[in-house]
Amino acid sequence: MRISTNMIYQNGGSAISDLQSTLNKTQQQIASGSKILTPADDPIGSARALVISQAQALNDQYAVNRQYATDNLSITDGVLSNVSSNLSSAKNLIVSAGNAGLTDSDRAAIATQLQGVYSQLLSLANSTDGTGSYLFSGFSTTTAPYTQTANGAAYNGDQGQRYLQAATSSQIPLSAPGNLIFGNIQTSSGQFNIVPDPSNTGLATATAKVDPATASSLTGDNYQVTFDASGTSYTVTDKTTGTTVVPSTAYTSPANITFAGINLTLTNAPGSNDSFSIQPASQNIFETLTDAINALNTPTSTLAGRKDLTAALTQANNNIDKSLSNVLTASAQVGTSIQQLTNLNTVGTATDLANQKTLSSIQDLDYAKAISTLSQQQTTLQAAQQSFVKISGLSLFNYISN
Amino acid sequence: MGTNILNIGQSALAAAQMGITTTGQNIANASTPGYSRQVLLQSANEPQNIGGTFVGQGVSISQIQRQYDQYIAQQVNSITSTKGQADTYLSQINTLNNLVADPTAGISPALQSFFSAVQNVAASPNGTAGAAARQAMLSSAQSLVGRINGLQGQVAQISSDVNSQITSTVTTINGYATQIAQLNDAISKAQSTTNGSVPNDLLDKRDYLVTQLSQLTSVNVVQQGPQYNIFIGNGQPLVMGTTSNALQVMQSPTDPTRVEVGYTSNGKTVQIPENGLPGGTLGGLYDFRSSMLDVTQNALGRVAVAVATAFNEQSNLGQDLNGQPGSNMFSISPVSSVPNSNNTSTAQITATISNVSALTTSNYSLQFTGGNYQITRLSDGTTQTSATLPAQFDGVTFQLAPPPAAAAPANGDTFLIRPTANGASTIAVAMNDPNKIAAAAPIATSAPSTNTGTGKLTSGVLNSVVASGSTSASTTISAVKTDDSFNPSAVTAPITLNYSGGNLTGFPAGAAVTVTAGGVTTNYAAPATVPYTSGATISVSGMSFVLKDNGTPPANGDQFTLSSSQPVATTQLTYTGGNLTGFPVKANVTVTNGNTSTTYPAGTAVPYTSGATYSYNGVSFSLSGTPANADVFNIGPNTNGSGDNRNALLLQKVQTNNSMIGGTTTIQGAYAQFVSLVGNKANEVQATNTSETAMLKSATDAQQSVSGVNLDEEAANLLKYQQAYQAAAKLMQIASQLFTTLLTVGQ
Repeated sequence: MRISTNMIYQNGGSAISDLQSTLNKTQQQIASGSKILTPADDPIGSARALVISQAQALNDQYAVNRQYATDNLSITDGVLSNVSSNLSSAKNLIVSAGNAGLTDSDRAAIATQLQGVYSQLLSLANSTDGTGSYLFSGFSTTTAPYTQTANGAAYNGDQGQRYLQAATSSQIPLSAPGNLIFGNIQTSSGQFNIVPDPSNTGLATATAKVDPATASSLTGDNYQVTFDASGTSYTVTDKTTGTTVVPSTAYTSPANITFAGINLTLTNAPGSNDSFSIQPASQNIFETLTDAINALNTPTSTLAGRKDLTAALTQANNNIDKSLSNVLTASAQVGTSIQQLTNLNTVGTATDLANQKTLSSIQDLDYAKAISTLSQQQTTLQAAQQSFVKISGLSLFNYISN
Repeated sequence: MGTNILNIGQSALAAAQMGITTTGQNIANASTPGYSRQVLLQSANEPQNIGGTFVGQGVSISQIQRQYDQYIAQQVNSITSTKGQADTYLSQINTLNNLVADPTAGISPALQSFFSAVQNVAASPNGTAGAAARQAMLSSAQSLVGRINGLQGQVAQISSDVNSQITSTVTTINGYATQIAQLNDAISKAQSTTNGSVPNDLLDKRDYLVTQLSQLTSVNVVQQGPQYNIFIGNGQPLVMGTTSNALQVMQSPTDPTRVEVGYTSNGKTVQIPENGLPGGTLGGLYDFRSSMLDVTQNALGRVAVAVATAFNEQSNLGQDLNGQPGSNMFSISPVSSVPNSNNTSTAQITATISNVSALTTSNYSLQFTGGNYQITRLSDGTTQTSATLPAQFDGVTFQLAPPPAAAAPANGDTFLIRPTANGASTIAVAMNDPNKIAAAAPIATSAPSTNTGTGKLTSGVLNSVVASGSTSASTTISAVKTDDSFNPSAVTAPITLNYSGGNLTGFPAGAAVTVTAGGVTTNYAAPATVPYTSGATISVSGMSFVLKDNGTPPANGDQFTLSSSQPVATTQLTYTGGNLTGFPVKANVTVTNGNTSTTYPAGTAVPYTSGATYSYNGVSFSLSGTPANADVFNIGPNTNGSGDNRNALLLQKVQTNNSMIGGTTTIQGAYAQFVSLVGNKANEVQATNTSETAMLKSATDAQQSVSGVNLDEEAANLLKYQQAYQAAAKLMQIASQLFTTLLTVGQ
């Protein structure tokens, strides 16, 4: 084929230019350390790298969440173990108070110690997580869970359980709401705990239920229904506030007695001066301790008084056991969560490593290969340049002298 | 006889001189682009009969012939067009390629840090730590929006570059056309004054202009006598003889932001359709614009729309720090819908995005023709035809703008709808008060301590912003599903539907109603009176629900209401003998246990099943265990739970939900697919470019082989003609000597 002079220069020039651009690209790869300079270099790899980098970022964020959860749960764990040791002290005090040889003032001294345990428990229940959020209020973390009341303490939080996302499909519960830990002491299987006075003589047994029509009047206070000597009229006293709720009212068996949202049903006739004490079946530990403190502060001189004291102490003992069980359950849950977090941390670290490895295999440049490619391209370029100079120097005009 | 020799010598001299001149011309123009080498053709003169013998009369120049192959030239021109197109496409797509190349400069890091900020709010929703986390979330939302806006700004810059390139290309084409017309004139004039010999250099110039024109757009040359008629595209005449028809740049009738090419006819500018101008720079720009630039803008917009829509919807289901229902975090512009400027009616189409998951990156064209609405997906030409609007296609709901905005469409009217094109430029943060971030759920549940059973209640969730109720004893209304086009303000005032005589009335003013029963969809224009069919799905204003009866149709006067599910009404449920009572009046409770769902009419007792989920008025909770008779369960608003992070946990799931492309991938995944598309396309165009370059090289080589100047060859020709000249001069010298000899004979 006939070659024109232009072809020689054009083709030579464009070949050198192409070689220069591939050399430049290799040099850029070496300088940046990455195989992928633009998505065109590896479309699938670029897309995968983007998705993996999101997974990495998520992994890192979950690690942050787990740290937060671990902090919260560690504080909770500490508080709960403190609570359970306080409960053990309370139990010891209650047991020691049952000693028959104690005097009223001895018991009063025990009551004071018990008061100290009560204050400790109250402040533990109102613990915060260090940033000012209450641990045991459920979702209402700006409201203190327990406030002291006449009959113990009232729960002001809600029943929500907070969670944190600890891994892609794993939500870890944070500290539980206070009512499950400090409350939830079931003293009877019904809605109310009715304790007939040990000195009762009649055959009446009492059960109490919430009266749906007046349910809004429920106070949670402890009441006492006392019959008069003839058993034909009764008085209802609020033992917590000390007020008379229902003054002397006539009673004929087997009628119901309704007061303050409670519907009391009596079977059989009450005896002379029989009395029944009614408290909500579900109590919290503060109510239990307050009841025990009140019982210990009551002077006992009569046999009836002693029987009341024994009954009160027995009830307190049972309640504290139930409370301890609740606290242990909560503790176990916290322990499980902490364990789970530790496991997730291990998995998270492993995932992080795996992601980094994958990312590196997609993106990172194989330096050995790149440098050898670079020197090969360099050689080719040099050869092209030298040969071009040689060929372009060949001209007939060089030989036409004169 | 001597004079004969002199004549011969003189003709030889002239021929040799002309030969050197021609060689000189070739050497001088060796580097002139478009130059075809010229070759001297000489022929012997007619012999003369002198005394019975034919004696030669020397040489004459027949022609200086241009070495030019028309067919090779056509091939070069056509390949120049396709290569020009590939070149332009490649350089444009490389700008996109570089735009998305750096992963740290793209959308991904901004998305990730935004969702990290959401997780931090979930960890600290309130208090001092919460205030800081919330402010950080707002700031990272601003960064995200800024990054998206910025990327879109760069895409818009590329788009306006394309516009200016089209304009300048058209100017250049017009320039060439004028020059070619002038050359046509000059060439035909030149040829008419000689006896058929051609002005080679003018021809070279014209052919070179045609090649340069081919680089801009593909041309078809028809030779008419000495003149070239140039046609571009599908037969549009550019140059006819000595007149050139200028192309015009005009605003696109379908999209005011872009320019198109047209021609003037009868005083009006008529657009040449884009597929009517293939090849060259112009073809490359069109191809890039419609297949990559639009896709890029739509893909970025789709990411913006997905983030904004999912986030806003979940925010609306939550509660902020002030105890108010969550408001929108992002604002984004509505779908772009432009009537073609050639439409004869003033009808407008309103399009809304009703299903983000089904969105594509294509634009749509809606045409009203033959009484039907035909919607075309422009990326692949798939169509869907409906007799009435509203119609849904690819996650977009198309409907006629309600009066008095527009009239009915006329036959042939078309509209260009671009669902996600404006998403990336218009997304903005609509919230500036960190307390308005809806981290909490608006519902709280509790069980009083007087309960004696073991019934356990979950904390509840709000899963619809619309609460539905029915007063009918026989007919229930299902939970209301809202699509992505639903605006909560539609139920600020409750909507009450009345049943009477087999029909439902009371739909919102101006809203069309769609009823789907047994696979058949019917549209009712506003104001709608909709016939009642049990089990049919009714859709209006982005809400859809099912009315179902138990065999007895509703009674006249029965009402069905749609209202806002927030604030959550305080409800006290009581468990008695295996049933739950106390649900709000008019609420139809749906009990879901495993795969079965049953809806109970208002006022009926709802049976209790442990582990089942109960839904009513948009609220949903689950009850398990064994309650005792008279046990009470409270469901109500979340009045004090500022440490509640339930909605924040759901907000952070927006990042990991497979909410895009038919539910197959996340938002980041959809963006990654787009980046991959750019990379693939760039690769493909690079490969095309490489092969076109090789083909052009081989065609050019063939052309150069015929027309190119080889300096060595010319050097040899110089020597040849120089020797011929010397020989001819010698001949004349000898002829002169002969004559002198003759003269001295007589002395």
